[in-house]
Amino acid sequence: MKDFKKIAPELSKTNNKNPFNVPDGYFDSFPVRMSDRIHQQEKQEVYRHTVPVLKPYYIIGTVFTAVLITVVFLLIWPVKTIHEPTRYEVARFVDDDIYHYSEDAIIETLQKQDKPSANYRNKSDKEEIIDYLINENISLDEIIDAL
Amino acid sequence: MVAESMHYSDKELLEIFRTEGRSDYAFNLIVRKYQERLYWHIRRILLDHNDTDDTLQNVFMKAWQALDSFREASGLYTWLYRIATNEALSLLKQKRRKYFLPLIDFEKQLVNIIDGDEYFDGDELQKKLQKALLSLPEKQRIVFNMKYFDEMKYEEIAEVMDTSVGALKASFHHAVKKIEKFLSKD
Repeated sequence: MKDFKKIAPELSKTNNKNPFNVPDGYFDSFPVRMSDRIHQQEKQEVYRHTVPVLKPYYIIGTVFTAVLITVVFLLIWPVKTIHEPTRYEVARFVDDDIYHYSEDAIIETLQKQDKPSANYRNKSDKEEIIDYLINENISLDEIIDAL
Repeated sequence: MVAESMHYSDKELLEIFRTEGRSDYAFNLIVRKYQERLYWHIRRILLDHNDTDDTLQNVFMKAWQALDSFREASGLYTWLYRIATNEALSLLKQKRRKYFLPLIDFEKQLVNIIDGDEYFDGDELQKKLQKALLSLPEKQRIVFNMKYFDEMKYEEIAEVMDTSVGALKASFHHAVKKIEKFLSKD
């Protein structure tokens, strides 16, 4: 940098020799350290791409999703599969199939079923009713007509 | 192996790198060829050896990751210099942010590094020159370093700094004037 003499005489007194230094053997060991770091980094990259599937939060997430799907399935599926008969189907059943059943069976079923009072009446109530029907001399045909 | 790496041109090194199964070997040669030049370039910016060591490793890591897509639009040498310059500047920025230091305090810290550096072999005049360099704006300091210490051509510096030769000449001239003023102070 001889050109500096005129424009920068003080600067021209310095030299451009490197004033810094490094620890002994630094440049001999650097390529090995660099190579190690690259391989370490590559291993981490492979780990980062494959292992996430096995990490706890992925497992928890997967289990939670599976449970959620099962619950939703169980809640929705029965509702969708219950078949509510239409009025037409009920009428057709009565017309076509009811003659398969005896009168006694029908009466028995009706007695068991859904008269609201039957659900909460106790045994003594039923006996009273039977006694009442006997006393009043009401025939089976009259009961069926009444039902 | 350093000598071996010097046998190969950049083009040959890149060809070996792209040969299947030889990328590790070629990259090792590239590291050996450029480690010293890049180290000193970074060291003159950061001054501290440990910071320089970390940054140099980051530079080569980035080069390793990007070398596959390097299309030789610029020379390998200037490409590596550019990565090194950017990495060193971003570390300076990080440090300034980390310690919330205004520019003047941060330069004082760098001066302290020179005063307490066990790996500084220069005499008093060289120490004073380094302190004068710290009074320059960062990019002007880098331009001065590349021209004065690395003796790079303006065209090469222009490629690294992504600027014009004219702008670089002006920047270097200003830097020389400021350094001269600093050195003439006492």
